[in-house]
Amino acid sequence: MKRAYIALVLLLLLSVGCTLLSRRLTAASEELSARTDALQEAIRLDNPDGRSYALEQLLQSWQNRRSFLIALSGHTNCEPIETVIASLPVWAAAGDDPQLLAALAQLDTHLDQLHELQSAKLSNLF
Amino acid sequence: MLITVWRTLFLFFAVTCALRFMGKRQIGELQPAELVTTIMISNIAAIPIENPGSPILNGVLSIALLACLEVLFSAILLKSRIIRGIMIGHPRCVIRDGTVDQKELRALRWSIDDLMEMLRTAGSFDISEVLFAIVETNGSLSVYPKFQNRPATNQDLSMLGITPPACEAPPVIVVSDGQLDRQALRYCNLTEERLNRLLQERGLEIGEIFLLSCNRAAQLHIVKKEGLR
Repeated sequence: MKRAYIALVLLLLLSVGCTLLSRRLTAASEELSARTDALQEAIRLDNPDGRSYALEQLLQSWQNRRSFLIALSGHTNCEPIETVIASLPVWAAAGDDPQLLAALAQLDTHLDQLHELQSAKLSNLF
Repeated sequence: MLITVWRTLFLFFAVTCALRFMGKRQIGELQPAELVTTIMISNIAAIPIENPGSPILNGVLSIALLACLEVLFSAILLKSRIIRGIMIGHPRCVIRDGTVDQKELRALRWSIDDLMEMLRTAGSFDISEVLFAIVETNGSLSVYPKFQNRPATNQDLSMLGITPPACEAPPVIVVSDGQLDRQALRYCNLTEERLNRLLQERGLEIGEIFLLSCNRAAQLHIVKKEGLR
């Protein structure tokens, strides 16, 4: 029975750990989404300072959260995000706003997909 | 490539720990739920090894979860006879009072060849020698032979008055490949000094021994290492 109690405690710890990790993952993807929205907004408002600041913030957020997101979602799911984020400074330096906005829209979609894939919903169960 | 090696090593230890946690039964006599857990664990462990893109954390998490569920499940089965009956089933008597129960065989989807094969595996080559044969929940067959075919015991031979020998307890391995097992030494009621003396009488040292087994009467059986003078 000792083993059963250990299993019960371990199961509880796993559940708590998974809940915490899931929340952190949601927070990370929401933060990236918010940074993406801020950059889109700055481009639409044609604010050069705000634009470079928002881009810097987005890249910084990605650098901070990258390892965690890859550890939890896997390389396969994070690779498209990484590719799009890598292309952002190139488009920004070239001053190609339509391409930058298109890349940001793509990034938004990938982040939404990541969020959807990891969320504990009944539709994800089946 | 190196990451695959690391992942394989990591998952190997994770699966080993999970199986060890689930106990020895998991390795030898598998019940249906245990078999499912074992198969699932091995499959889950293979996914992150085959696919470096998938997160290893998911694999480890699933293995830990399955191991915990299996242990909890067996605890529930231990407590509840009804759930045990549903999930594991009951032993089935296929030979009763020397007669093959054909209805039970059909229910088990066993042919007479299957029954004969299982009887041979259990050491009975003649079905007429069997009084009872029971299919256990793990699929093995337990055989109870008829009186005339049962091996004689000391009680049958009226040897109960005889004092059992001091070395009745089975021998244990005390030295294996030159390594001394002090716990086994204690079991044999020997000290290290006494063992060394016994070995010196034979002109041997512990390092020269491949296998040394000993019983409680301090009767030694020694196999020397090959290639030593």
